[in-house]
Parts: sequence; structure tokens; C-alpha cells
Amino acid sequence: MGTRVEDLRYTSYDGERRGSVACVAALTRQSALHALGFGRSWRAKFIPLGLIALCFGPAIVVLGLRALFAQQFPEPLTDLVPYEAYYNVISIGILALAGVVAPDLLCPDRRDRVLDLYFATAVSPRQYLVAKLAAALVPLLGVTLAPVLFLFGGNVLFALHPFGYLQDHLGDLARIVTAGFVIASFYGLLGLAASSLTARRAFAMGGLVGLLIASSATGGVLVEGLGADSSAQLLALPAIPIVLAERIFPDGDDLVGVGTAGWLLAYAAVCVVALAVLLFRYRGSDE
Amino acid sequence: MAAIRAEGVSKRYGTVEALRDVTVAVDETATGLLGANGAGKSTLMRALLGLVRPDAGSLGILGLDAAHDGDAIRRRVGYMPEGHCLPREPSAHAFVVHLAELRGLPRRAAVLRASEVLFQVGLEEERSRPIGTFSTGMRQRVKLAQALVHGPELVVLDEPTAGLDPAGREEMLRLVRRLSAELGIRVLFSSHVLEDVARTCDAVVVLRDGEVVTAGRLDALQGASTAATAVRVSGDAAAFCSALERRGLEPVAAGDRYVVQGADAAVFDAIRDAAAESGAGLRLLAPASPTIEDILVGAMEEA
Repeated sequence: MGTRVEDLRYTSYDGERRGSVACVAALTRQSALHALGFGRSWRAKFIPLGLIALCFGPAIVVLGLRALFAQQFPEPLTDLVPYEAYYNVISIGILALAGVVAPDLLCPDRRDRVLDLYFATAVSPRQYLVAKLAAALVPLLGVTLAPVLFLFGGNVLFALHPFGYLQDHLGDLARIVTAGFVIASFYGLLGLAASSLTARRAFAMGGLVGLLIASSATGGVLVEGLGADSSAQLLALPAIPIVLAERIFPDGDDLVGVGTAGWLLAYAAVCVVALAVLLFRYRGSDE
Repeated sequence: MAAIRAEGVSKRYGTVEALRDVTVAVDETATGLLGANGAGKSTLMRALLGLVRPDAGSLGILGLDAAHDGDAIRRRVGYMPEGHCLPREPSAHAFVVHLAELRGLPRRAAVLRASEVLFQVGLEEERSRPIGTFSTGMRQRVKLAQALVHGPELVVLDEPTAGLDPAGREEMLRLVRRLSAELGIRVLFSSHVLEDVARTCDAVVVLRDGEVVTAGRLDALQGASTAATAVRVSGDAAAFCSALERRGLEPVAAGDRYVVQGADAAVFDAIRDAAAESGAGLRLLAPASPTIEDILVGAMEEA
């Protein structure tokens, strides 16, 4: 076995220096892995990965039943949980994951005052925000996109003619991807905006979950209890991305009584407000 | 062109004037930014890095304009902020690798460089420990390592000895001196402790209440003041003084010694000859020039 001598003297660095995009990508990767608990304690991994696994549950059950008992049911078992209904089924999981992930992305940096260091590197406050939003999307897409894609993949595999099914349902694939991004972006922005207001993870998590539940209750009470106009349903923040995602699919029901334009407007308004909060909170130390 | 240049820089935070018409040019390898807390040192450093926008004036660093080339400056300059600014969870190595990547280094190079600089700052053994378990001195070293990891041409060190015990301070000063003396990295070092600056820097910029009080090379500042020699003798001091006066020197009594103006070979020869002539024993022959501390304190009092 040969001996290797390491020369650890300090040398100047004359190698490659990448541009801003690579720096933002590095921050995104590190932040996403941190949010998912990689390189951290088992507890930090358990919660986000557990929530993601839970959100796969309905798809696994449906596909499992189909694999085992398809012959015994007259209706296709996949109709039990159609794509557009999947988001509603896992909505609590999405909300919980947003509540866990978003505070973990912003609060520790503010608490430990690491921002001073970050902004002294080649990353500006806005690039920092872009990286953190992209990092929030990674775990969120793990619940808003990956399980539905898994269900779609299972349906393709179990179809009598998989290629024919794929050809016939390519539109569904595009809708699944769009819906996944619609929900993940909404929760990502809202979660980060709430987290930007405090350096304490617990406060951010409580604030975000509290806001979502309170808004939902307010919308429900106004419409169901006080007989207010159905447009009051738009106050229910968790419903906004879910209903909008459902309406991306042709079979998405219009049960709520508010037009798609109304939901789209509410979605855009929430995203704009969240973005404004983020830009204000990360406007740079000197502005 | 000077490595660091400030022209008429002013910055105000509400009613507080942090910098007032600061004009200075620095081209030494190691320059100290000296001043009491609140003198404007950190504001000037942050303005040089493009992190603070001055209300008036212009700043340049390594030939780049701080107002427009902030990104380029921050890639070529290392910055060690004052105070706590490190995360608790990651290891020192993981964090320094991450900061290197944020400064544009590819991952493989970042990993190698992180090992290298952590070795240089004396953290090779503890590099895998979470930063949260580090002492203040070790945290300061991590901060220094991240400032060096991308091979900067200049490092800006904001109060690197703050909060350190005497041993830690000694070690940090040794590291800082090594940066400019051995590794060829320009250093801008802020401190409110004159001794720290005198031991690590070639030049000094003294700030008080946001204004530059004095600036220049330390040896030039010292040389600019009148040189003098202190002498202490045993035996007949009066005869020794008379012998000095016959040689054109005017001894002035200062405690147990005499001070004569001048500190060159002719003065030393005259003192030797006067001692031989009067039969006095020479007990002390030493420079009696004011110390750099005397000069800087005097300049601050005059300002």
C-alpha cells in the first residue's frame, strides 16, 4: 500500500469561478437538503420525509388495491381518488409540510445572523430569496407533484395498453405538473413570507398554520353560518390553490360557486402580498 | 491606483452621522482601521464591500467601484464580520465549503480549499464538529477561514479579536500578521485596540466620530516626529551634562535620565565621548521618540 503525502499549505486560488446562477443553485441545493433534514439529526429528517411518505399513502393504497383486487370491482379503482381530488385528500399533509419546511429555510439564517455573511458573498438579498423559494419548492413538490405522478405512473403500468393510456392521457400529465407547481408555489411563497417575519421557527410555524386555519374558519363561518355571499370562500387561504389546481383538470367540479377567475385573482393577490412582504424583509441591510 | 480608496464619503443613519467626508487612500499590504466603538470603522468596511450605500462620495477597492461592482468586489475580497454570524448546526468544514460555493468555486475545489484554510487557521482537528459546539476563539477562526476560502486578494477583518481571551487574541493576531507577511494577502483590519493594529499592520487609518483623524504608514508616522535619545548615567552626572553641552547637545532631565535631541550615529558618538571624558558610567542608551500610541493619541486629541 503506497503512502500519499498531502500538501496542505495555503495556496492562492486561480481556478474556475462560476457566475451568480451557480451560486444561487448552490444555495438552493444546500437549503433544500437542509429543509429535508440531510446532514442533520434523525428528527430533522423524520418529519419532512415522513410527511412526504404520508402523502404517497393514498396513491400506494389505490395502486395496491388495483394490483390485488382489480378483478373483483366493476369500476376502475383509480376512480376512487382521481387526480384532481388527490390534492384535497392530502391537503393537511401539504399544509403541515409547508409549516415545517418554510421556517427551517429562513428562520435559522436570521436567528444566527448568517445573512451578514451571505450578503457579503456574491449572493444579493434578491438572489437569496430566489434560492430559498426554489429550495422550498423541492420538498413541497414532493407532496404536490410526486405522489400524483406516482399515481399516474401506476395507472400507466396497470393499463391494458400502457402506451395507449399514456398517449390518451398526456394532457393529464401536463395538468398534474401544472397543478403541482400551482400549489407548491402558493405554499412556498406564503410560508416564506410568514417565516420572514420572525427569527423563531416555532413562531413562524405557529403563525403560518394559525393563519391558514383561521382564514379557513372565517370563510366557512361567513358562508355556512352567516349566509354570506359564496365569494367569502376566497378568504379560506388553504382552499385557494387546491380549488385552482382542481380546476386545471376537465373533471374538476365547480362546487364552491365562485368562478375560476375569482380563485385565480385570489391566488395572484396572495402571491403578490407574500412576495411584497419577502422583498420588504430582504430589501438589503442599507435600504 | 490605491488598493482602497475613499473620496468624500459620508453616511448618515437617522440622526447619527456614521461617516463624515472620509477621504483616504490605502495601498499598504496590511492596514489597520483604528477607532473607538462607534467611530465608523464597520460602516466604512461595509461601504467598501458595497453592503452599505454612502449618502455622498465614492469608494473603490482593488480598482473596482464599490457602488457598481459590489458582486465583483465580494468575489475578490474576503469579509469577516464583527460579532456572531455562524450557524449552529453544520460542521465547520461543511459551512466553509458552502460559503466557497457561494463565492463561485465549483464543489470539488470548494471542498479542497475548505480543508486547506481550516488547516491554516488551526481547525483541522475540529473541522467535522458542529459550529454550535465551538468556543468563541474557534468561531473566530471559522469566520477567518470562510473569508480566505476563495483565495481573496484582500481580506476585510472587522474586529477579529473581539471577545477573545488573551491566548486566543495572541493566536488571532499571529494569524492576521501571517496573512500579509507570509501569504501575500492584503489585509484591512479594524480594531479599537492600538496594540493589535501596531502588531499586525504596516499602516493605519484613525477614525473618530466618522472622520479620518490621521492616516499613513506606521513607521512614517513615527519618523515624522522628532527623534530623541534617552541616557542614564552613574557617577558625576553634572560633569557628564557639561561634557554633552560642550559637544553641542542640550540634555534635558527627565526623571532618572536625560533626553537629548537626535538619534543618529553622531549623537551616539557624542554621548560616548562625553561619558568617557566625565568618567560617568553609561547605564542606558535608548530611543526616546514618542511611541506610536503617543502620536496617535496626540493626533486624536488635536482633531
